[in-house]
Amino acid sequence: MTLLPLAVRSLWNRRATAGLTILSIAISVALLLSVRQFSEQARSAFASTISGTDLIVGARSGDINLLLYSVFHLGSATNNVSWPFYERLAKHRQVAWAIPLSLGDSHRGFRVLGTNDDYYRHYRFGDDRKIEFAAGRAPADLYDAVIGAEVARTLGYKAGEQIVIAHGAGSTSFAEHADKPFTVVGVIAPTGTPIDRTVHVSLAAIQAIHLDWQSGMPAPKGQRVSAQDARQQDLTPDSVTAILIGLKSKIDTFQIQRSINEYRGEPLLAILPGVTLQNLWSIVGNVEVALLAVGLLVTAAGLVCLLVAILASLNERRREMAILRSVGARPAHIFALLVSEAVGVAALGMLVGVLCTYLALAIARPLVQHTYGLLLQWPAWSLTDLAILCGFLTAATLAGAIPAWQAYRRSLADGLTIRL
Amino acid sequence: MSRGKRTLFVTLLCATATCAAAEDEMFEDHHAHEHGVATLNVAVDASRLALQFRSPAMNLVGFEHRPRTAQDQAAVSQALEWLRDPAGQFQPSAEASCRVVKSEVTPPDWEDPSGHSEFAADYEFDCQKQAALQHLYVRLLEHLEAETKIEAQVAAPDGQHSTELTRANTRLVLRKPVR
Repeated sequence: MTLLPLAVRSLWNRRATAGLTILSIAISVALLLSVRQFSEQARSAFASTISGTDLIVGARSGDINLLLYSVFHLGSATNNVSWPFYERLAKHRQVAWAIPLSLGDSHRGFRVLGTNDDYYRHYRFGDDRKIEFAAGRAPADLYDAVIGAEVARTLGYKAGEQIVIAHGAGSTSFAEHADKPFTVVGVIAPTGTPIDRTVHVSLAAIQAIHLDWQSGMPAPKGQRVSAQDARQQDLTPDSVTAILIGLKSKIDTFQIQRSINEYRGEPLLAILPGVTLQNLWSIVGNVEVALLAVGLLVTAAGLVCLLVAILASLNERRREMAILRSVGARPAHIFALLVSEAVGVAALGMLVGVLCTYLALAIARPLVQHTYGLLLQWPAWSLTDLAILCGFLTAATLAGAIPAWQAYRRSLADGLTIRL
Repeated sequence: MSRGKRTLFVTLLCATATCAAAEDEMFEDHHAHEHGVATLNVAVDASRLALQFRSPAMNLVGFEHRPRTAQDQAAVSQALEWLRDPAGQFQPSAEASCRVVKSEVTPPDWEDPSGHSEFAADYEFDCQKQAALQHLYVRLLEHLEAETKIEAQVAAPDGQHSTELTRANTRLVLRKPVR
């Protein structure tokens, strides 16, 4: 009789304990792998949110703050950029395109972004992908809106839907621009970026809905400007929240950045999105290391658990060992039996752990996409993950060798003389 | 935070910001000046490679006051000599066959009201084989004070990134953004 079926049957005999050991190993492995996968996936999702933009310009604050509110629509701006400055920038001979962004309003928890046609023409994300429409077209009329894929999915909107924009960025707002409803004219194909969670309108529309507002409140009846009358008025905005810039030549990047940062007219900040993303991740990186350390410790605890389970079983299995010896098993067989048991339990635990990682990601994906508009990819197993798994198996083998060695020595000494 | 509190908080923040802005108006030069750290901005497009190097005088000559002795003067001349030799101090990948087309070195303004003075240098290279332009080797680090770091930022057609260069790591990757 070979050793393996014997080991399997012996384990089956102790299936409750073995099952729990496998579970504890699975949890520890899943924790370590999930931490790694999540940080990797989140990093690449964040990094692919913006590409091809050379500079982002906003009011002077922190570089990460500017990146977060302009691109990820997280948090809010402390101040705006004046419209004349935007016009100067857009006309600058070294600037190829300048996309104005106006944020601050929302629709049922989704941010509303006021921008112009350049956004649909020049915005790039991921590997130089541009915005494409799943249905409809870019806004043409003043009260046209274009929605992201996640907005369309969550709220069940299609082209032709009438929507009302709320004042402020909260998920519940009591001040609505109900007098000037918008028509959804397009749905943007899924991008896996915050675009999916955004309602896009024109800059003029943002101006129009605020025409008759005074200090954050709708004007009293009688002083209101109707949706039709608003069309006749000057809808040039006073300011925008941020500007995305594409340059004719990358060579000018730092020169333009410096002249914006040193601009005396108003306090402005120009950032390089790629470099700022990297800065952001270097901060998040510390948290990542802490989480990984916790993951490693829990994995070590899982190994100890395995060791304890086998060591504890040794006493009750003296009889089993004795019988094995009596039917001709050598001490070396006993050793191999226990090591293979440890390796088997560890391998099974790892397998379940990997499955749990997929499960965790499957649960987190829709949540992350809904909250941040970022699309996490399925696990991309790297050599590091493989090394972690191999390392774990090696550690399990070594851990299994401890009780195996004990049983080996004992089987030599007390073999069949055991008293029952 | 309640709405009222938040408004107050924002108002306070704005007030601080206004003060900071007002202060900015008073000084000519208000960018960061950190001893032991120099900055290098590198922009790449088509056959062009543009470099902007800024360093507190401390890193290059060991002082920031007007040169007083012959020794001080010699140190400054030496530093300027290094900076006026871009091809020797900033070497793009040899296979790219780059040549210097612009070199502007600004010596420190010893009378700067901030009390700090710095060297500035702007260069441009023209490279025949742009595809081979993968790295920039910063030899200047060997001449800077031993612990000096260069904070390098790269803006290239395939992305932007930043790296810290030291004597142990003088090679700046220009192409793939490193994550």
